[in-house]
Amino acid sequence: MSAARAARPRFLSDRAQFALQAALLGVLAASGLLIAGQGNGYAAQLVFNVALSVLLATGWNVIGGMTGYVSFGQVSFFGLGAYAAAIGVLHLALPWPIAALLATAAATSLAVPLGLIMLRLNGIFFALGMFGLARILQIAANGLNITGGPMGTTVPAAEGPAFPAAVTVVIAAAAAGVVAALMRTRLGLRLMAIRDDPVAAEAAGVNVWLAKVAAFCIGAGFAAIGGALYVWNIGYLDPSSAFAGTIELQTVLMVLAGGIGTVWGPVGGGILMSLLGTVLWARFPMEQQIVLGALTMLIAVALPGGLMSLLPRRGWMARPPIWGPPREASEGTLLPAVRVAVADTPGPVLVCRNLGKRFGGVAAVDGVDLEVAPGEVLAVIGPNGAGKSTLFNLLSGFAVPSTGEVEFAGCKIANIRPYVLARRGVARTFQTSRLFPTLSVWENVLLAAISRHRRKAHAVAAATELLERMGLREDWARLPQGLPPGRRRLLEIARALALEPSVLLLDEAMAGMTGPEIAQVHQVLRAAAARGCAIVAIEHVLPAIAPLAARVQVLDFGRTIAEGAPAEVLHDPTVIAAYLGTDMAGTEFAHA
Amino acid sequence: MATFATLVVLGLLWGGVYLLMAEGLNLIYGVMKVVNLAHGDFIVLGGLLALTLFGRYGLSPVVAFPLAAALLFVIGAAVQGGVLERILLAKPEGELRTLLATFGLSYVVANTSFLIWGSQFQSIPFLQSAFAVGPIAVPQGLLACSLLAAALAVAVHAWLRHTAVGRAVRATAQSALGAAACGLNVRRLRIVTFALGAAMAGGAGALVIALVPFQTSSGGDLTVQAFTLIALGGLGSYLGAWLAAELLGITEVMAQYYLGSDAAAAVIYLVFIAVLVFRPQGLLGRTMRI
Amino acid sequence: MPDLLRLDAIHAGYGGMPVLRGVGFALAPGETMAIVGANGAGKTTLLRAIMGEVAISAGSVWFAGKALAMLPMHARVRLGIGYCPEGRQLFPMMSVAENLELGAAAATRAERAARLERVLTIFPKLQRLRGRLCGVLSGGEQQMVAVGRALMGAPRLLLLDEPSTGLAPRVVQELYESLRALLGTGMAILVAEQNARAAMRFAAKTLVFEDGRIALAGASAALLNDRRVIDAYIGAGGTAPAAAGQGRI
Repeated sequence: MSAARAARPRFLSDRAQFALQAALLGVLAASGLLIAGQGNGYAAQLVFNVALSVLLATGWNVIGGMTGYVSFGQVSFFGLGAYAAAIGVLHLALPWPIAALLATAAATSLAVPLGLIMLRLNGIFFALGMFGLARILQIAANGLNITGGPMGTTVPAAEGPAFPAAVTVVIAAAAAGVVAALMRTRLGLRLMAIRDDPVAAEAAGVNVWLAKVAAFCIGAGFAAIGGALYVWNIGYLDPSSAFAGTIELQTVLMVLAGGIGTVWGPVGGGILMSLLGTVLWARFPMEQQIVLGALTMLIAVALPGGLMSLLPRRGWMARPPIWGPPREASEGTLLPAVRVAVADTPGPVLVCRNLGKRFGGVAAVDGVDLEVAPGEVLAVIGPNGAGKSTLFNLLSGFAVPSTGEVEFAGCKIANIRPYVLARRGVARTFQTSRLFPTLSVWENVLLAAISRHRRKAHAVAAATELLERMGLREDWARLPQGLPPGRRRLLEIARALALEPSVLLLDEAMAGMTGPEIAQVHQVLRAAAARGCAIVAIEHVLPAIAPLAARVQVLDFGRTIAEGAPAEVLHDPTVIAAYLGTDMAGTEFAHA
Repeated sequence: MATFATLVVLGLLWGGVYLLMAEGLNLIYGVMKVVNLAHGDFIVLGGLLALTLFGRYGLSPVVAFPLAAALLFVIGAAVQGGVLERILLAKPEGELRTLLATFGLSYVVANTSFLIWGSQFQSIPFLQSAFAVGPIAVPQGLLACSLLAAALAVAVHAWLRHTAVGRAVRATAQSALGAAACGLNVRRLRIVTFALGAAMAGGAGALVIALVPFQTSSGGDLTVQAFTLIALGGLGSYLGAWLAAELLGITEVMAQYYLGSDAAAAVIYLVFIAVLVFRPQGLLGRTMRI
Repeated sequence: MPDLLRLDAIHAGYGGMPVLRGVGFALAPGETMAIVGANGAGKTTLLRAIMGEVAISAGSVWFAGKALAMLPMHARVRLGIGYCPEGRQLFPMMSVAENLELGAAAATRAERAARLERVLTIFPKLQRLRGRLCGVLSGGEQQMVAVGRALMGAPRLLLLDEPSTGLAPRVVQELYESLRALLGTGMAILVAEQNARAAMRFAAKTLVFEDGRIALAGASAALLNDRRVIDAYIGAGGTAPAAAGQGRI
């Protein structure tokens, strides 16, 4: 432990880091403008291409990299922007700036319904679904007579590439700046959490749906501006170039080469790869695509993190920690208000009656009644496969009961999304630890804190206090996988507590912890219970939770088989039979 | 009514052809849980190879079928052994990286084909006559392809169930670690599977080019079509894929007839997105896997 | 007698996180050994290191006089190590018979039939389940198939990773009683168990793991009632119900 602390790296302040990055972006943009202003048409065209690449790569990265929804059809929005702008100029006689803005707005608003449909998909399904979308749009554009159908149409263009190049450089730099700023906002943090683990993000109070659609729209907006700029510069538009798979390939390659999910990856990758593409195109026009395809394979195999992964994780080019580092504990100054609303109401805060869940023909939970009062600690124990984890999914809104109902603070929770429940005060942990692997210890906790606190200062203070109490503040900048297993569990509990829950559901939270770690958890849980938090703790065996729990409920085969004080329950013959087996046949437990 | 019956019969036959083009992808997905985005380009490559064999040496597609399959077997083995195996070994994000790698591969294959064969639509005139069954005219080439597809489906199924290597492949699909613990060389089995899937794509191409003209850039569309089919069937499911193929075949033929060919192309993608959104587990759910 | 398996101060872990820190011991032919310890102590990682499932960063593993470094898992299996991995790793869509036969993939048809007979005498329950798909069996039956499948390779060393996980104590007992049939056949057995008592009653020797190291070693009979074994599980001063293991990670 002490060795780990001694090895703690030193950092630039995040502000200094941010300023350095802004300066670099400024230098890049200024050089782009300078070259474009030289009066050399070829150079200006090159600058235009590079800047457009950076813009498209940055847009793709918002949804594909930061949010984890890799798309093979982001070119859909490029095409939509291009077509909308062309129609604006040709048929509504709009001036270019207005046409481009309207086109971007139109494509971005279209991204809302499209996002609502497409983002129901995951992984390969989303990627290929987007590919299909681009093809559908291309076919639709073929049938669009006012833009010349499949033959395309000419559009009044800018005079010479210098001006479009300058505009595109500014917009691309702005886009990169927007993404860098986004990475330091609530939305940015939530997107990265969704990329890492959407289920855990939902449990931490993130409206996964909304955040994904927002990211989708931002990405679409960048692509649409790109499309409009493209037509303005080239003065010609047809379906196969507006929805070209080539653009998609190059965009994906740029992001991949630079570093997926980073701010600088698309910028660096965009610049390098578009220059490379241009050189290849000039020398080997026929083989260019083969080389780019092979390069994509090479990077996917040999350098999946792209060029950015070659830089140090905490170097000045890296993503600065969000709202960190946590300050030394400032006792009492900014401590958030403790949630007490529920504790005031008399009676149990969480009640379930006759709760049941069937999977196929098997009843995982079969008519369980359970209630827990504010400040009470209830232990739920039972052998593997007794239905404990399914019960938790029902209590936290992650599964819908087949029978019965759950009431939280007097309201039925049927049809309430898990993130809403989390925000209202039902926090949970998972049986197998589900931390966000690419977020630091600090950000893991902060993510939940921002679901609870509207004000940044409060969220920061709450997250800081929790890290302090869990003894994790020294490790704030580490990634979760750098922590020993027991401390990862502590972090997960800290994340749940950052929601300041009225009900805390712990799913075997203390498995794998050392004695001192368990003692630490007990202390924190006692404090939470003292504040009025009701705690339901699942454990496979009793000792880990017995010192806290006033009451124990024992499950077996989805039913409650015993209930009472810990000492009582452990001597109950039914419980002993459940754990130790009886002489009857058929007492073995299904694999959990 | 006779028209409708004709359309249904044609649809069923086309369903066989779709199945032929999707079987390789299904096999690879079933065993390795990865989607080979170059699948369509493998089909096109097989088809264009058959085209050359036909044009230069007058070989019929039926003879070209094993040759194209053999060539693609070698290519597939090289891709899995030389490239994709390196990703599987170094997780995490293996799925995404594999996808991106095959995405790149798709461009390599398509553009290499472009260098060799150019960009025109090309087809092989083969078995172009039709014979009448009552009021229905059945094109011979279509019938031949469809029957071959069925034969191939049965053969693959039998191979997977009743041969030692086939069983080992299924074992790997169900638990790679379990297979290794049985002393099976999982790496080699994955290479064999990928090679076989590629060979099935190449063979399919050699036959299908007699029915549908190919262009070197058709690969992407064919990949999506094949993926639509196996997604509809419930990834990796054999019976499901067959059922999905027939459904798609009928839909496509009907759309062609009643809506025109442009709309028919869009219909495939619409079905694709609708399937993904509304029935992601496929028609039959998660049953009948490899 | 020369060692069948020997580990020389091996270190291993995941993604730079060390789990095993200098583990060394030897196993003679026919010897049985229990590896016990709390969750995260390194029991499963030890078996994975022996099988090559996790890379060894220092030290070496020797089996029958051969260094195993660089050999893939299937090659180790073919050298004569039977392996029942964590989670059983059966083929759920295949029948019991198919699962078992795959365990003898390298054997001749006659050998396979003979070994199948033998496995079915060890686990007579499997006889009537031969045609059943593994996915629908109970946990205890699945575990029998898993052990049976490893035996089908006629191993000289059998590695069992937590065979009692998810099984009722009575079923655990039944399983270990069946395993007793293997004692005295010359096959060495290494069993990693959460359920320390069951494993220690079965195996002659015990290694107690703590934090990636061997904390205690000795004859199982001597260690069975040793207070330090309990401490290794739940920390000094704790008490645990005798028959139930700790929760799994």
